[in-house]
Amino acid sequence: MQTEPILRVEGLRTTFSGDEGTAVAVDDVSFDVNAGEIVGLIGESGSGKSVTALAIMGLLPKDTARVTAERILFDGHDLVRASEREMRRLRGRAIGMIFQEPMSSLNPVLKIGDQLIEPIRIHERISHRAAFDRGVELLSKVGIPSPIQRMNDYPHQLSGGMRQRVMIAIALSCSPKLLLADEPTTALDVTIQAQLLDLLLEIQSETKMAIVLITHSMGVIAECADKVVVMYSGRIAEQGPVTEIFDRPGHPYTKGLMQCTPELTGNPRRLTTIPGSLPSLSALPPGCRFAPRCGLALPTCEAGRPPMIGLRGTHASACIRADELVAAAAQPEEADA
Amino acid sequence: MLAYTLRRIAQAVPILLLVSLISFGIMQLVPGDPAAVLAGPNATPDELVHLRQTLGLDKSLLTQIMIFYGNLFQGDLGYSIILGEPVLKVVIERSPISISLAIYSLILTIVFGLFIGVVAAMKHNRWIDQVAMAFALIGVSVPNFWLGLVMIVLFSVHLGWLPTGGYVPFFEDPIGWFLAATMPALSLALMQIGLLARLTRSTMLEVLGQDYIRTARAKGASEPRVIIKHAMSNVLIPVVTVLGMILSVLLSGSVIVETIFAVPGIGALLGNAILGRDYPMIQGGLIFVAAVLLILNIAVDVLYAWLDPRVRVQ
Ligand SMILES: Nc1ncnc2c1ncn2[C@@H]1O[C@H](COP(=O)(O)OP(=O)(O)OP(=O)(O)O)[C@@H](O)[C@H]1O
Ligand code: SF4
Ligand SMILES: [Mg+2]
Repeated sequence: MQTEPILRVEGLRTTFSGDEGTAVAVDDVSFDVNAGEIVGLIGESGSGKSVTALAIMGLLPKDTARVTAERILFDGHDLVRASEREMRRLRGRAIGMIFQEPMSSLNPVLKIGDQLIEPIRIHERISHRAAFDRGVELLSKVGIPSPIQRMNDYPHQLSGGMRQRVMIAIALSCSPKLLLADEPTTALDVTIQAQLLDLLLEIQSETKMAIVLITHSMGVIAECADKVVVMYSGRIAEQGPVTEIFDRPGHPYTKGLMQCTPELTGNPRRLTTIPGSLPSLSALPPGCRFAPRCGLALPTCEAGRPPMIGLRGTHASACIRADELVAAAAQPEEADA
Repeated sequence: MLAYTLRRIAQAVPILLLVSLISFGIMQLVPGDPAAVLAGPNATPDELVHLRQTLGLDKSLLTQIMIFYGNLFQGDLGYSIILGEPVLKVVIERSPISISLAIYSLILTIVFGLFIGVVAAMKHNRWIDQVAMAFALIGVSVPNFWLGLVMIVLFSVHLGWLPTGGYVPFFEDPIGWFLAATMPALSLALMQIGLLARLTRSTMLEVLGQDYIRTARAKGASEPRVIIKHAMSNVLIPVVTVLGMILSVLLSGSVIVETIFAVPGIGALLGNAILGRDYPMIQGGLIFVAAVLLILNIAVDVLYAWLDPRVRVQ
């Protein structure tokens, strides 16, 4: 595996201006994605995962969103400073994206085939016939039966799972180096979720593209990702290799997320949820944003933003008690009564 | 699609029957004796009797209805009292004038309404948007007869660019037709341009916020491609549904506008028929206009179904 990152996000910040002033949705987010790697981006609803992905793609609404960053390096381009023209050449060709909402992400009045081969027609000089043939091939690759007929269907004739397969095919059509998959399975039912994740993993092992996989679920991270970035309230709480974080979580929020996941605890009775909810963007706590919900909070936690503490290797956590947590995890866990 | 079209046509038949019944009823609703009203205060009793006979008013209501529909199904709309000619013949002579005027103003409405609406949406909240919406508001608020008169004063009387009105058949002299029809068509269209521009703008803004537009951008689509291929195809669907209404308004507005510009179309014909209490002409004209509107509305519905695959393909 290469170690040169294909994507390097440094100090990404995104604000939205609205009627009630300016809201900081993503605040100083930095992470790397190496070529061929699957990076899981996890956090509860509203933590800024989609905004992060859309900021990388340059797809946030220009009139309300403001994106700044030291740099967002992708394959030699600085995406924050790239012209719209340069971004258009990357989108759909070098970076593919799959969205959270399969039901509304396809244009209802255009044929599946037209929508599928559009990136090919935009980015490559190739005849309609050849593009159509590639479209058929892509549809069968993502597991859609009778692909030739489906090319002439309209989105409303397909189920949600099938539509998301089409979205995957669209994102893959120009063999991107990076795929941003924003909760590709959340809106679908459980059996279809598993099928689609398997499909993504299978395609990834074939093409070796890098994937940023956004999810709500630690189970998905455990199954798919090499590295994980945990977001909380627009900031990174913790990041590092998946095995490292699962063995020695360095942030109480990550621990909480793991305890919410029955596949990980192996014991449904011990399933807990984290009490409370995300702070509102208009009333963010001054210090650690997790402090109001944190069982380990100390008075100093509210004083200022906890710095990123480097742990073993690339593992880092934004909790002042990170070292303690990691050390405790290293001890064999005491059995509960 | 074919079944849908046939069903829409079948639905139109009862509407047409109802309209004809209403237009038949107009004569019955005139207070007192329609013949006396028609003939005026100086009519002799002989004249009244004669008029009642020609209008069929001396027969029972049921017989009158039967005769009315019997004639209607044979394409006989009666004789115009003022012109002394068969109503159908007059209507057929005059309708191309009004229909060409309506088509011209419909084209103006679609071209300018869509263009202004799309540009305003693309420049949302910028000065172009504000100017466009101010213009649309003026368009919606200005009565067409006032606009017509102002244009006559400006372009005909002061500048002498365009004739004050009249009509030149298109196939005899297209340029003459164009010069004569422009002001009437514009005064008919302005309000509709304003309405369509506002509808187009709000629909376009809504469509531009949809997820599939984001998908198009994520493919690397250029802005013109996003607007024309992905957004317009969705904006046109609600726009087409109001075309039927716009056409009705354009045709009914022609009564006033044709009178102002001395255009000898159906509108002016109906206007004169109303002023002159030419009941057969009013009845025939109403039925004819209703039939034209029904046909156009069916065409619009079929177009709508054809544009939206969610309706077309099940
Ligand atoms: N276009 C926008 N305008 C204003 N605020 C926005 C916009 N998009 C997102 N936000 C805000 O930014 C914050 C982060 O939203 P985001 O969509 O990134 O969450 P998420 O982590 O993807 O959540 P989910 O799991 O529900 O998808 C939220 O508070 C949201 O309200
Ligand atoms: S910094 Fe304090 S409040 Fe924040 S997660 Fe760590 S212990 Fe909890
Ligand atoms: Mg999201």
